[in-house]
This record gives sequence, structure tokens and C-alpha cells, in this order.
Amino acid sequence: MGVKIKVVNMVPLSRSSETNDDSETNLSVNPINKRQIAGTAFTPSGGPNTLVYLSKNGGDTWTVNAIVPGQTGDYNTKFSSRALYGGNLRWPPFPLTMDVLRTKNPFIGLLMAVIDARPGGGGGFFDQPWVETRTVGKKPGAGKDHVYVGANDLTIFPGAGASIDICANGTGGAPVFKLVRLDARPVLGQDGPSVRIGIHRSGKVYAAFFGWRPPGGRTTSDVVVVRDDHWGIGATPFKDLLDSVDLKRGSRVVTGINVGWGVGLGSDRTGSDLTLAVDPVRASVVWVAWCDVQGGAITLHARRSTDSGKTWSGDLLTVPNAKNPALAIGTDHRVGLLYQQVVGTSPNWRWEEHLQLSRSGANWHDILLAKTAVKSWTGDYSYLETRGREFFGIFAADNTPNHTNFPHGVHYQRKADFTTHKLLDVTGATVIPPSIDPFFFKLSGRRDDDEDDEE
Amino acid sequence: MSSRTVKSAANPVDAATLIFKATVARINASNEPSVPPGPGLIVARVDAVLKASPDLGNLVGQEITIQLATKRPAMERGEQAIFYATDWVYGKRIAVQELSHHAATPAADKQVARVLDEQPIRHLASRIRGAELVIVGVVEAIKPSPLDEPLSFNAPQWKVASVRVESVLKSTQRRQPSIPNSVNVLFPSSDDWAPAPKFTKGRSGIFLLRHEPKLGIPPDFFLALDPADFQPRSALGRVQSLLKK
Repeated sequence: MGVKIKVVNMVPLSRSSETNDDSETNLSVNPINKRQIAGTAFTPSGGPNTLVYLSKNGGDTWTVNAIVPGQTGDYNTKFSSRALYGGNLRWPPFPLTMDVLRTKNPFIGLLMAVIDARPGGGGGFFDQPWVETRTVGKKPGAGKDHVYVGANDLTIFPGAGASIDICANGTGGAPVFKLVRLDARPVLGQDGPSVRIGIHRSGKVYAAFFGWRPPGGRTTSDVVVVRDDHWGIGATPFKDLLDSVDLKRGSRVVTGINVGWGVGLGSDRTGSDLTLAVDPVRASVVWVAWCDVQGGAITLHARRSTDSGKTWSGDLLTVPNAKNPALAIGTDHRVGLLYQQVVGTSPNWRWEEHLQLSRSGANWHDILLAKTAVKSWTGDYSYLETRGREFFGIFAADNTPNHTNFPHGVHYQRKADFTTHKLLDVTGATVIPPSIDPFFFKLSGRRDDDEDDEE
Repeated sequence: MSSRTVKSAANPVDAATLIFKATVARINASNEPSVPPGPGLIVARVDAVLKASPDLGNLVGQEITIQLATKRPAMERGEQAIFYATDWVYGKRIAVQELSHHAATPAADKQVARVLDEQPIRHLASRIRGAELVIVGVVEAIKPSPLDEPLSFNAPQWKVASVRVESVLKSTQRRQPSIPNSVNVLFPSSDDWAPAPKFTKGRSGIFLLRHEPKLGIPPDFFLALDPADFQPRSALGRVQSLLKK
């Protein structure tokens, strides 16, 4: 059986005239109906509410629906088996407020309900909300949605703000959220923006964050992984994993790295590239990837733990000039790592969007999804997830319609002429300049030599 | 043509993201595949666009789906109206949610055009009303912010514009000094705060200033976060006129 790859430009036909940088993408597939997919990108609505990309046919076609109340500074959405949840850093008014959102059906056009709000204050706010959720399968709590919103709480600046806002029953009438701080060590000012969460069906929940540490610059950092073995809803959440050296909460995967705040790569800023994924079958297997500065270059690293985070491998993959890593693991234990890499030399840089696949981390199969111009900002993250053995992902890239930019093919919904490499308005009469669009992809099947990598 | 009118509570011209004149083509219908047809939906052909995002291109002649604000009074096929609407669904076609509509008459067309033309003035008047200090001045220096600001991709990355005051047009401060020589204006340098005015040395004009205590800004710093909070000198007459109202 061969690999099947589908790549779709998500901008619908009716928005063919748009020239926005629809960057900083995220994605979620409904766990009980993988034809239902929600995606997010910084696509301005021009109105009071924020847009969500929705597909009801497995990503073949997309609509954009204004269902997130308010405008956004950062947002994403995630499906449980019962609802779609969202985290939105809403503005204006000032200060920025982090809303946690819910809808039981995103396709009917109703605004998502705000089920929790964490207002900013004191010059700070809940930075980079990142929602993850899972419907509990077994008792106790069977059928309840556990909702986790990672964020960096800057309202306590200076202080260690890496946090998760946790709810044990997201579909309840009045969901109650509890804010849990993750960082047990002294910080130099604050933690990094990214908090990433991996949920296993057993109730084992992992989270990774950047702990910014003295005595270096403000962005000298540890990558820390914390774990809770009971859904994170007990009295002392996320204290089940201690570091083997200092015996404090949270295993340090790496210490003293330079996260590259302000360094930049291609057209993008850098400084908080982090991802985590747990094996959906073996809860003790967890992967982490991050970016730091090595020899002056932004460099991606991927590592794995097979003992629930107690010990970590060395780098199983290292990629120079890469950012926006996104990890996911299939039920066949294949790990996928999505990232974008700058190739070439300025001013002729190109973004290459790669999906690397491996089972043990020893051998990697590299799939090039796109090779596009470096023109504008693509955002601070992208996303990858699995349903069974299939990988679903999203990335932002230049939208010039050129088949050579997409080695595995691409389908555009917006009006485009692949012969002249021009975008057109919906009537086909006016040429529209290129910009950044969100691209969905799905990978199914396996390479014939995949088993060569069997552990 | 019907003279029936459906109104929403808010000012529809300001609240609507899309204002257009259209003729009803089909009742209980939808031309966007993801929106099932049914009561409260119509398909209308756009005759003229009065307000729309450029992202939508030229809508004239296109049919779009409208979810009416109320099901009664019912609209009729062939009826022409001016619709005030907000974003709803973008797919193969556009579906919008109506805030209100009224009959399209030559008088109504002129009235809507006039209200739209006045929209920036209404907004400016609102910002002037809420300002604590309105001055004419010139930026003499750009300085680093004294605030210990957290690092975030969403942070404003404050800078300070030291503004020499040439004249005070409005002050709500109780203990009003004669005329302050200069004021410190914090402004966000981050592109993420793009709508806020960005200042450079030598920039001169009219500054509409206020304090924002919820942002944790010390009281000796003013802010100007709305695009209308900085006006060119050529707007002086307009600002003075609005101050008198």
C-alpha cells in the first residue's frame, strides 16, 4: 500500500479576493467523525467576530464561519467527542482577556459560548492560549469532557506563569475551571509563551513548557515536561513527574538553551517553538520537539521518552534553520514531525514544509509538502494530529498557484490559474496579489519500506 | 416595493460589516451549500455595495444568502431593500446575518450614504468626548519605555513619545496646569498592535490622549491607542468644531 497525500488550500471561493496573511495555523479533527475538521488562522473577518475554517467532508472543501466572539490576538479550537472548544486571546477592549469557548455544533453558525474568561491585568494577560480536550471513555468520569487550556499567565509578571486552566466537565451547565501553575523553579522574569499538552486515554496528561531561567539572558530556558496520571483534576495536579537531578516537579528535557527570542528565521520571528505528543496506545511513550539557537542558527530538536518522561533520549532528529514543529503519533506508533525550513540564501529563500515520519526515531522518511516563497509572516506555530494511522495537518504558506511548489499536488478552492501562476477574483476578471494562506493536508497509507524501521 | 422596516437595537450602519442594496430572488432559500435552505433565509442579488471588506471583491451582480433578523414581516420575491449585515459563512458563496433592512428608495440611498460618510466623524467625536487631554504638539523624541514589560508575541512593546505641547484644546484634569510643556505618550511599537498610531520624531499633529489604568500604565503616561487618536494638523478645524458640540 502506498502513501496518499492530499493538500488543500483552505481559502474558499467566495474569498478569492482576499490578500491577508492567513498565518499561525491550528487544526482539530472530530474524534468520532473524522470528516469534521476545524482549522484556525489569522484571517480577519472585518467584523466583530473571528473566523473558523470548517470542513464536513474530510478536508476536501472548507467554509469560513464567524463563530468566535470578539477579535483575536491568538486562538485555536479542538474537538472532543461531544463539542468543539476554543481558546481565544480576545481584544479589544484592553486589557486582553483569555476566553474559553464551546459549541456543541460549529456547523450551524451560532457563536461559540464563553464558558470561562481570564481577564488580563497589571500590564499582563494569559498569553498564547492553547486548548486540548478529550472525552473520558471509562469510569470514573465517563462521558465527560476534560478541557485543558495551556497559557503563560503574564498577569503575575514577574513570575512563573506557565499554566493550564483545567475543567473536568466541559459540557456541564456551568463549567468550573481551575488554574494550575506548572513551573516549580525560579524564573528570570517569566516563562516562555508556549504551553503544549498531550492527553492519553488512560488519564495520563503531559505538558511541556519553556522555563526561562537565571542567570542567563531573559530567554535562557529549560524545556520542562510535567505529568499528571489522573487527568490533572486531583488536589495536587501535575506533580507525578519529578526531575531525576533536582527532584523538583517537572522533568527537564534540556537545560540552558537559547530559545532565539528576536533572532528570526526567513520572514518569521522565533523564540517559542515547542510541541509534545503522547503515543495513543503506549502512554509511557512521549515525544518533545523544540527550537533553539545552535551556532547562530535556529535549530529544531526532537527527543523521546519511553518511561513516562523520567528519562529522555538524545536528539533523534536535528534540523537546522527550521521552526514551527508539530508532533503527532499514530496508533501504529509512527511519529510524525511537521516543520518548516528555510533553504537557499537571502533574498531567494524558500520555505520548505516537511513531514518527517519514523517509528523508532532511528530512520526518518521525509515528505516535502510544499516549497514556497518567503515573503511574509507565517506565524508562530502550525499543527499536526492523528486519527488512527492517518495524519492530519495544517501549515501557512505563500499561495502562488504553481504546481511545482506542491510536489504531492494541491487543490485550490479560491480562483487560481495554475498556467499563468496568478490568483484571480471570484469573477476571474481581476488578478489578486499573492499572500499567505492556510493549507490543510492529510496523509494516509504507508510506504512499502516502513517496516524496515520496526523496533 | 415594500416600505416595511426591520430594525436592530444597535446603530446598524456602525454595527454592520456589510451594507448593500439587493433584490430578493428566492424565499426560504440558500445558494451556499453549507447553509441548508429554510424559513428565515433568502437569496438576493446584490445591486449596489455601500460598505464591504475588500476581501469580498466586487459583489455587484452576485447572489448571496441572507439570514433575516426576523421571519416577519416576510420579504417578497422582487422586493428591493438595503440590508445591514455581519459576516456569517464564506464558502462557494457568501451567507450573511442580517441586522436590519429597510426599503430601498432614492431618499434612503442618500440617507445611508450620508450616514456612512459621517461614520469617521462620529467615531472621532466619540474619541474626543472620551479624551482627557487634547493637544496640538510635535514629537520631540522617542525614548525606551520605563515599564518592565513581559516578553510576548502579543505584547505592545511600549515606547515613549515625548510630545512638546503647543496648545491645549481640551483638558479634564482637575488641577489643570497652565499649559504643560510636554507630555509623555506611551505607544505600542509592535506590529501586532497595528491599528494604534505609531510615532516618530518630528511627527506633529493633534493628540487625543487618555489614561488606561487597566493596562497597568503609571498615571504620568498618556496613551493614544485608537487610529483616530492622532490627527494631522489639517484636521484642526474639524476637531475644534467637534469640541464645541
